[in-house]
Amino acid sequence: MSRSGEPAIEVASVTKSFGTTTALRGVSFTARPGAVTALLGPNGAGKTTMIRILSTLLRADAGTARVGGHDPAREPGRVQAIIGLTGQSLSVDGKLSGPENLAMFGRLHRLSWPVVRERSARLVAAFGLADAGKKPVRAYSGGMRRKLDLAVSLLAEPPVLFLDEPTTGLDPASRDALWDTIRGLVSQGTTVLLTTQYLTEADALADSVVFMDGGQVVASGTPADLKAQTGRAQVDLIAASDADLAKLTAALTDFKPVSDAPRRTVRVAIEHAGTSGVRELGDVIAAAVGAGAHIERLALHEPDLDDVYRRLAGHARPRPAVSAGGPA
Amino acid sequence: MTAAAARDSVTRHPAAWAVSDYWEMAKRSLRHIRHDPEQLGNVTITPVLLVLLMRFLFGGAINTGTHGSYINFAMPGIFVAAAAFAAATTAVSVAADMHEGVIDRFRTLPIVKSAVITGHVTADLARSLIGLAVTVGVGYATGFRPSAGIGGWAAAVGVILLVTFALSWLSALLGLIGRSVEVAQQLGAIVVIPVFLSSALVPAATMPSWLRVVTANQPFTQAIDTLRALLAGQPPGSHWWLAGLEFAGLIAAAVTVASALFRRAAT
Repeated sequence: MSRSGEPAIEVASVTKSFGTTTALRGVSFTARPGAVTALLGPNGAGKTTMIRILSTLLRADAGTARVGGHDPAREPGRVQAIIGLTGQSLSVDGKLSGPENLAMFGRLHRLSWPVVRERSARLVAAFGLADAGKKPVRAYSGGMRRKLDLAVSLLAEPPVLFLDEPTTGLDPASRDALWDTIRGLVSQGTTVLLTTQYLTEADALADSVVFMDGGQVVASGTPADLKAQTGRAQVDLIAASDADLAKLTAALTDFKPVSDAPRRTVRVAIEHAGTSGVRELGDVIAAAVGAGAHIERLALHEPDLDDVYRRLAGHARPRPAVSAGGPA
Repeated sequence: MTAAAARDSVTRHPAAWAVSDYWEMAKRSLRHIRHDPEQLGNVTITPVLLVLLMRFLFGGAINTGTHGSYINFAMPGIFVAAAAFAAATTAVSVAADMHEGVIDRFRTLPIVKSAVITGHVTADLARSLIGLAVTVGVGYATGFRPSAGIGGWAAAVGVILLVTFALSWLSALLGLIGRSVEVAQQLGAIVVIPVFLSSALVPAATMPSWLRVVTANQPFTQAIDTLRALLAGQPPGSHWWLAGLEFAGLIAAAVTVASALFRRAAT
C-alpha cells in the first residue's frame, strides 16, 4: 500500500496499440492519494485505455504502471482488492434490481452479510435509489443507473476509485449530486482518477489535471495552471454587418482578435485573472465602442476544450489517434 | 493505510471464498430466470412439441422393432434433446455478458473468474430439470410408460444432468467465440444438431452403414442408449461407461478451452 506522500497511482512511459491503432504513445503521470486527478481530453485521446490498464482489464505494451504500489499486470489480485471501477457503459447487471446488484457485488467483494446490508441501505439512502425498488436496472433512468453503478463501486469502500466519464448523459442536478458525492469520498481519503471531456468538470472536481490528446499527455497541472495558459475568459462581439466586423477587428488589433466572417463575430481572449482580468475586459469594451461600429450583441464565456487545445497543442482540433500502417 | 476492503471483508479459506463466488454467480443466473421467465419457453415448449410430434405425427410410421411402443423409444431421445435446447441458452447468456459493461466489473473483482461462467452453467442445470419435469409429464399423458424404478430414474436424471453440464460448457465456449449475441445464438444451436444425428428418434440399425458408424459411436447415442436401458428397467451394459467417458472428456476439453478464452479476452 502507498504510504502518505507516495503517489497512489504512478504511470511511466506506458504505450498501448490495438493492431495498427496506437492508443497510448508513452504516457506518464502520477496521482496523489486522497485527491482527484482528472484525465481530460477528447474522444480517442486514450483516457479509457489508460483507465483499463490501471484497473487490470488491459495489459500495457511497454512502460510501468503502479496502483497502490502494485503492478496491475503482474499482481492483478492485489490491485483488484483496492480499486473500484465505474465504466462508461452500465457496469452492473441490468437484468437484476438495484438491491440484488448491491447484495451480489457486496458478497463478491467478500464482505460479510451484515456489512453488505448496512452499506447497501446507507448507499441506497444517500443516492436516493429507494424509489426504484425491485425494477430491473435496465428499466432505470440514465441518472439512476449511473448512481447505482457508482453505489456498487463504493460498496467495498475502495481506497482507489476509477470513474470513466462519470457524468456523461446526466442532467445538471444529478451531475451536481455526483460531484458532491465524489468530493465527500475524497475528503475521507479516497483517491479518485476520473476521465472527462469537460473542462468545467475537471475544474469543479480535480486537484490536478492530466490533459491528453492523441495518446499523449499534452499538459498537466492544477486546473488553475491550465486555464492560466489558456486565457480566463472569452469575449465575442457580433457585428451588424461585414463592414462593422472589419472596423471592430481593426480597432481590437492590440488584443489579438480572431474574426469569424460567416458569423460576423470577433473573439478576444482575456488573459488575466481576477481584477486585472476585469480591467482588461474594460479595455476591450472601450476599444470596441471606440471603433464606431454597430455591435449587435456581446457574449462572454469561459474557455472551452477547443480553446485549451489551441493553446496547449498548438492546433485547433486533435489529429485522429491513428497512425495508418506506419510504425507505432 | 490498509485497504478498507481488507478491513471489512471476512477472513476465510480461499476455497471457501471460491465456493461463495460460485454460489453468488449461480444465484445471479437463477434470478435471471425469475426476472425473465421466457427463458423457460425454449426448454419446455420445444420438447413438448417434439413429444407431440413424435407421438402423434411420426409415431405411427416408425417401426422400432423390439422397443415396444414408439413413445417409449423416443422419450429418452427427447430428454437429451431437451437438455441440448436448455444448454443452447448458455451461449446467449455468456455472449450477452461478454458484450456488456458488467463484464468489466466482474473482471476487476477479486473473485474466482470462472464463476462468471459456472453461474450460467448452474442455471442451465435448473432449466434442464424444469424442462425434464414438463416433458415427463406430457410424455405420461400421451402414453409414455417406462418400467424403471426409483433407482433407474435417479440414474437417468444423473445421465441427463451430465449431458446438460457437458453441453452447457460447450455452449459457454461457443458464447465466448461468438462476436455478438446474435452470432452466439446461432452457434449455440450447433449443440442441438448431434442429438438428431444419433439414435435419439430412430434406431441406429435402420440407418445406412456409413451413417451408422457415425451415430453408433458418438456420445449422444451412448447416453441415449443408457437412458433407454435405465428407463426400461434393464442393465445399461457398456453404454453407460462409454457415455460417462465421452462426456467427461467433452467436459474437460470444454472447461479448459472456455477458461483459457475467458482469461485471454482480457487483453
